[in-house]
Amino acid sequence: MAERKLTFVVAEDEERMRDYLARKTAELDRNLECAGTAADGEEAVELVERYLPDLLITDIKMPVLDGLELVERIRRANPDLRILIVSGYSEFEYARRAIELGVDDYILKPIDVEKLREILLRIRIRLEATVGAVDAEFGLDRIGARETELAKSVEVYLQENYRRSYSLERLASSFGCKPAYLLRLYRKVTGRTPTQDLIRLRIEKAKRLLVGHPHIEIKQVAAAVGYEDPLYFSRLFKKETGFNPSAFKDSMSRL
Amino acid sequence: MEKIPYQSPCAACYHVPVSRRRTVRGSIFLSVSILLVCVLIAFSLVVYDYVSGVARERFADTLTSLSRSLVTNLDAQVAEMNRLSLTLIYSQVFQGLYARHLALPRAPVSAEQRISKLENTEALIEICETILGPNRSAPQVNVFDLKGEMIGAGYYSRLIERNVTGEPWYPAVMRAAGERVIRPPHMDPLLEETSVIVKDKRYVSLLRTFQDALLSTQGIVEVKQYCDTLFSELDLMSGSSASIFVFDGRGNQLYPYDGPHADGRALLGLAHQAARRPIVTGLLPGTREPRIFAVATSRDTDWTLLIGEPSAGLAASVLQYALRIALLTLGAIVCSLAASYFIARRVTVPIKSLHAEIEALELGNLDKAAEGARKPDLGEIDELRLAFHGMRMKLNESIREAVALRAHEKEAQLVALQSQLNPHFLHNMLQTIGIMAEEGSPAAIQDLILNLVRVLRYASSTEGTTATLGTEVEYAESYLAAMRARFGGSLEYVIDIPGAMREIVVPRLILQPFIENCFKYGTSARPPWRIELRGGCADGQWLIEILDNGPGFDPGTLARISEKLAVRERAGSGLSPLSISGMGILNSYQRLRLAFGQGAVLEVANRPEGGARIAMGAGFNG
Repeated sequence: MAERKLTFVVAEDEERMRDYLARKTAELDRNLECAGTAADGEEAVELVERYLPDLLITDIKMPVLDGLELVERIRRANPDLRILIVSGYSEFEYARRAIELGVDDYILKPIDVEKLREILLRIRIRLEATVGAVDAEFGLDRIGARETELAKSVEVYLQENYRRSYSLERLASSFGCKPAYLLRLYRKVTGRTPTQDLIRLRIEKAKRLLVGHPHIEIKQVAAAVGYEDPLYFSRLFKKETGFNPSAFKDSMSRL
Repeated sequence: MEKIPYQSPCAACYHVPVSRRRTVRGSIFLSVSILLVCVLIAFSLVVYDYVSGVARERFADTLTSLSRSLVTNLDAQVAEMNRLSLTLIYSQVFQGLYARHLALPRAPVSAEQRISKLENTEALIEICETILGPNRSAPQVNVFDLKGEMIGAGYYSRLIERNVTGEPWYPAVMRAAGERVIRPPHMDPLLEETSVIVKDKRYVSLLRTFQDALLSTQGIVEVKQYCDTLFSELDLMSGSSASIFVFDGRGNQLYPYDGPHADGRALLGLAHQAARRPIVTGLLPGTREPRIFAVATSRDTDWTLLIGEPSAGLAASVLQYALRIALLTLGAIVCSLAASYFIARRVTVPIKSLHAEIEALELGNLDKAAEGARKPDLGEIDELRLAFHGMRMKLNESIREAVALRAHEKEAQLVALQSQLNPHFLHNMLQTIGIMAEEGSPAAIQDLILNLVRVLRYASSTEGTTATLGTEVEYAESYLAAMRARFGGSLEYVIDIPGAMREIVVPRLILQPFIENCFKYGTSARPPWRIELRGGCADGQWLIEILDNGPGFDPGTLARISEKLAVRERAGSGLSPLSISGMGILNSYQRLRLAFGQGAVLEVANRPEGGARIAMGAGFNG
């Protein structure tokens, strides 16, 4: 499968470490590309659902949702996701839980670069051997009219319900299928993930609100498009558009 | 040369204090006993002296009054004899008859003369008998004429030839010239011959001359009395232990009349002594038994009566008193010894139990309350016990405080070391340094390493247990700076402590747990994290607030902390398990309490705008 690069997501609460991990991983293995970085577990869940990466590199101790909880959350929908834990903790209990959750490897801080290189190599070999295996398992190698229809209706559903708080599990169950299947089918048909579409929809709507209703506060805008945490919304907005919401509003109103 | 066994002087020295060591109980017992025994003995001696004096006096009184009454009785007897003789010689009938008797010739020649002499003699005898009376107050009266005839009346009633001048008493009676003369006890051969009734009797006679109208001596009248009768009262005493002697003025022994003749001179010597003193102690001649004598002298008869009781009698009665007193004293001594024993015991038993309590004192049982229901002792000892108990409690308290202080200090250091030397912290820090090195920012690395060194040095230092608040804040600043190097823009911190507060001396590492707490709980929320360290003073109190913008304490933890604080508040400064899920907050508070006392304050709460607020402080004077 040389047509596309393998992707990974980094979840780490320390900024410097996060950047380092993203940079170093890409540097050590040229075939790996960073799809995004998250500062906490919840962001990481979103990133994983959005980009369906091949590899998740995560710290254990993180705000909001810790590394192990994160793995637990995404494991069902992403059985083929390779997971590498990077931690300062060498406690057995963490290692035990990691194994239970099907984590591929566990590397301790401070990171031995050679060791990281070995682990990444091993993971990449495993990935290349199994890539597309899930698609085959769900019968997604051949897409029929029925599958296309399902993906389309999910797309419509998202367009109509972007304001509501989103959960892949809930979405899948409302369409009567497994999250992993729905996720892959959607990407197969549309080339994007539901989360990507959802974020795009929300940001677009937010932009319109910010331009059309300059008196509305950022907090209200965030809530109106389905984000309860305005800070998170702001960070996301900036990531997507390159502007803070307030800066965007100012620049738009000046036009 | 004989060898003297060597005795070590040291051994002697060593032994002296041991043998001299006396218990309180022993000395109380000894002194009280000695005092009581002395008082009792002195008291009984005085009583004995008094009682024996009284006994002696009473004895003397008895003896003296006895002798007086005996003498009075003798006087009465003699007076009766005297009365008889006087009645006779002053009787007219007798005088007439006697004159006729003298007128009649001694040897009658004619029958007529013989008859008239016979008749006259009969009449004289009759008058004599009449005077003696029907009771015969004396057994015999004799009338002697100076011509050689005697007329007797009584048991022996006739006229006999008797030349009175030949009688041994004649000169004395003549010299007395009408006064009475007592003839000492004697036998009377005439009466002996006359009747068996009066055989072996002894008599005392009262003799006197009588005159006619011309005062020429006519004759001598003799009144005889039995000694038994005269001394009947004295004889009554013969059964008793008393020995009685009667002497006349010339030293003749009158009584005992038929007993052994005592050494009159010796007895009279006693009598002379006795005349000056109520009683006299002496020996009866020929005996060894000391006697006590009382003497009475009759003025009438010039007789001296000496009555002697064996002094053993007095001694016996005094002895009886003495025995009683001795028994009484002995009983009293026994009682007083028992009393002093109980007094000593009463005093020493509480002392002993106090001693036992002190002996049993150990570090472990300092706080053990003294055995509860103890019967109230003597006031002073109760006070002593209370004071001891108080001291014990204070000691316990201060030991506990000292131990708690040390333990908390150690624990605080341990907590700080644990968190700063824990691998996670170090690994993360080293990782950060590694990344910085890769990024090529040596200045940042230097800063971080400096901060880390400060933090580790401060946490591991064993110098002193206190620090100024300034030092503590610098330490916190280094720690926060190191953390910021790790978390970058996610972490903000503000430190605002007025310069004046930086001089306050506080227990070392007291801030650490609070900063630690911010990272432990505050960073579970989304960044940016904001930690504020603010200080302020008001009303003589200083206060440091540690604020974060994290999720705050969950209600359960908050409740647990409040509960523990309340418990600690009640228990005072005890040593107890400190950590609440690993927090050193209580440790800090306890050390604050130990350092500042009741003025120490710790408030743990959630901020209304979100996040936790911990405030601690104390009075300035602390």
